[in-house]
Amino acid sequence: MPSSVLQQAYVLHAKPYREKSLICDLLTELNGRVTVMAHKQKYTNPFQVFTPLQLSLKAGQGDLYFVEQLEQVGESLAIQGERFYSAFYLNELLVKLVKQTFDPENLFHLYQITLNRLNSDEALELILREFEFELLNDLGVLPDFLQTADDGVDIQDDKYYVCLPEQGFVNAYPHARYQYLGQVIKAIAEQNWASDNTLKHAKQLMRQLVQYHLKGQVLKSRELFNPILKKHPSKK
Amino acid sequence: MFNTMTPLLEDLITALKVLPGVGQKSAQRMAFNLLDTRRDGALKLSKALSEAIDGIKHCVTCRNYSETEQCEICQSAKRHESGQVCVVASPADVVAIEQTGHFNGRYFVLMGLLSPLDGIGPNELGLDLLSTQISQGDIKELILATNPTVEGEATAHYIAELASGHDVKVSRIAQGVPVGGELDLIDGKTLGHAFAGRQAIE
Repeated sequence: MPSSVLQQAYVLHAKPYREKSLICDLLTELNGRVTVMAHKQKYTNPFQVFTPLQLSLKAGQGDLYFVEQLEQVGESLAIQGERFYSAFYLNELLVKLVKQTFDPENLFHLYQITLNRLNSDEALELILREFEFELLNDLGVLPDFLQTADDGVDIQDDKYYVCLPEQGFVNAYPHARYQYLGQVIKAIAEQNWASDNTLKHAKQLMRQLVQYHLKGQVLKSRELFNPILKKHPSKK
Repeated sequence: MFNTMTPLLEDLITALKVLPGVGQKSAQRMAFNLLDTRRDGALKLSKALSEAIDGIKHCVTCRNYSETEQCEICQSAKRHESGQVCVVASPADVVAIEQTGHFNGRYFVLMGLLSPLDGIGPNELGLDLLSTQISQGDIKELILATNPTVEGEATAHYIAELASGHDVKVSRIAQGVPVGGELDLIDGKTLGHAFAGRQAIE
């Protein structure tokens, strides 16, 4: 239940409701993901994505809340191109995967830190993998990285495993599409990205899990990457 | 209890609810009002609606609404002379720019802005069409006039990337102090842009 204390929030997605009002999906510091009705200002609309807001909420109808007070509007994220599309990807993941948050503060800070990291020189792949990892962890859907799900044995460095999203890692069976070496699984669990191979497999694993939990929803922001990557292969 | 809504009335109310911001109550009010006192107006409305839907399509060149294959602006040779193409998000923006009388090139109407969460990607904005037009080489300058919002900037940047590598000048409309505005009331970001984009007085 939102209280009227000031808290930080980001708009994940906004759609027009009437001429001067919007329905926004917010990620808030104290209440997690909430849907609010917000009003535009005379010439501008402060409810922009990737912009830190400080506001207080009040109860509206059912799950819809109102913005009681908009105290402060921070600087929008000033990045372009690939990193910017990645920020859209974060929003899309949050909107499509997170329905309820158990630890709003943690998720909010994860998002805030990730946005700030996108604004730095850090490798993009790394930022995205860690975000996906932490997000899935927060949702409680990460597999057990220490033991297999079928026979409960410790994962061995030199053996191959297959990830079943509902269960966890099981011993690899012939012709399985995505197989992970035990050593790689452990590196992913420790978020040790020293080898490119780990990063490659982490991408595969995260994609597999995200895809499963999207339950058929399509991630549109991935489309943004394609034509540009094709044009400038060096940017990858 | 009797159902006071006849099937036809129910259909009408459901149909009216497609309008933005119109819910059950408003739709009901509109339906009763049309049936009650404005039957002529209602007929006109239904005729205008069906004619508009049949007759209005998208211009093959600029995607703006048009009753012909190509819209008037795209057909005009004069508008092609300058080689300038102004990229805007919606037909309403074309109207706004046309009213200023400052622009004498043609337009490209995106019919939206990049917004993955609304299912709008590059293809939905017709950027494949724009990309073909750029590579054909008859565009000298692309003026990106999308809104200075996050989505607008992202779209502008995306189009600028599309055009890079081709012999096209890409420009973005300026941002700054509105006419009749007062400096102390303007937000810091806009004022910042106004300073960054200041011009020498000649």
